[in-house]
Amino acid sequence: MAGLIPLSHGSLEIKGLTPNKAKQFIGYVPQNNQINWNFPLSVKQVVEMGLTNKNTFNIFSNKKNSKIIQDSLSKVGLLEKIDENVNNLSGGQLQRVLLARTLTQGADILLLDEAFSAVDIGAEEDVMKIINNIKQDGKTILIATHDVNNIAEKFDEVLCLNRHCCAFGDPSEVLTDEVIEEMYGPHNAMLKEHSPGNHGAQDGS
Amino acid sequence: MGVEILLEPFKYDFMIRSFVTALLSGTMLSILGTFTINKNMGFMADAMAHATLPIIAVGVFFGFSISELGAPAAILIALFLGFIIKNTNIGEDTSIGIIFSSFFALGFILISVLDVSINLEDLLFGQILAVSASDVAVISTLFVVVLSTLFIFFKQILFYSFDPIGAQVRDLNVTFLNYLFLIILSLSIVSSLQTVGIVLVLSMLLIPAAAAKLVSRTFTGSIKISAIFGATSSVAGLYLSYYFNLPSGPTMSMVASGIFILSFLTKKLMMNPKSISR
Repeated sequence: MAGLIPLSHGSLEIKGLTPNKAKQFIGYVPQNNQINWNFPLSVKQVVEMGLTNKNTFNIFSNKKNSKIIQDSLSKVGLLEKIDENVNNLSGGQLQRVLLARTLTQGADILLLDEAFSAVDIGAEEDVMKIINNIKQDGKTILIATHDVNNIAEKFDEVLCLNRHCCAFGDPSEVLTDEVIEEMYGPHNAMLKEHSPGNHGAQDGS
Repeated sequence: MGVEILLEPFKYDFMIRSFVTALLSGTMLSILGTFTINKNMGFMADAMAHATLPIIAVGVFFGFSISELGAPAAILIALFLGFIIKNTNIGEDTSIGIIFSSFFALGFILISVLDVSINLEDLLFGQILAVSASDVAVISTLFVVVLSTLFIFFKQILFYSFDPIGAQVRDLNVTFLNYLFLIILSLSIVSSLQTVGIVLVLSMLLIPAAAAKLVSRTFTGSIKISAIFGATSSVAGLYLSYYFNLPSGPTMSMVASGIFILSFLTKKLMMNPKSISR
């Protein structure tokens, strides 16, 4: 969806466009370990990256951008940290900064990659609250996670994947013991029936 | 008396040229260095410097000067290194190590086989006193090209360096940005070979930037401080080499190291005044 990995088969459309052409609609929050934290950047500089595109050729920020950055940081409750070095923030605060970055972009679809892997439970609740607020603004939020705990309380829909679609729907209904075993159980037997484009009989496709 | 000491070297034209060259390459390298240290590209930068040797050997054999060869050699090396790293699966450090040592070895063989008249010591450790007026013109042009490219693409290069996958999703041309940074880094390194030489160019690239990182809280602050440290190291180094008859490149490197030690001690003192006495 982010246009990072080419499709091996089938097709994918986002708002009727191919992933590469739909990049303007996608806001992406990467995994914590994909970011080079060596750079002693300020919160403002990181959030401003949401406003940086391939036509950005200036070195200084203009007033209009500063306003957008401040608004986005207010939405994630971190306006007072605008000049803080990102290396001084906690895991949860970093996730909120990266969320603010996608908000400056004005993206309609947010992709969060392992959003809760580097945060404690308290911070996870804070991030969830912000995600719920963003949802109220009419945005679509997709979160990749390996943590199946409390999924039903957090999300409207769940898509369970393990090389194929194990289940899709309301988490309180589809997250059965069988589905969880299919997701996290041994792969070998299952993969015998799988090849690109052929997902075996189980998923009914 | 103090002013006379500062002005005396400028009686000689070659010293004026040397000071201009030292100032330009010291500033340019130390600014690029702030990105290099945060991107962990020190080894890559070292390889870029060493890989120039065969190109210089062949170029000088055909009658070109080292500064004329600088820009094309830098671009070739940057593209080659970037391509090899991207297209081999043996790890970045290993690829760089192979290219680094093979090119350096090839350079020595070519110098010997072609019987090229290159003073190897000058090439390895720099000979800033030998810069000609055309060398100054070349390095001035590269100074403007490298820094204006860096500042025009500053936000894009910073985004790509900080979060390469996020930048790709944001539709930045990451392949272009990767090669662009490699080329400007390579240009700044190769154009400074005459100042500090193949072996010591790394010290002017990394040490001022590392010292600036210690004493600055922000990235933009570290760029400014690094530029000041880099310029100071090269100019002060040149003065010291003039008055104490020391080799210029190594003296500049040692001044940079001195600044680093002072920055380190300052940081220690600022963080915990007691720790210094232990």
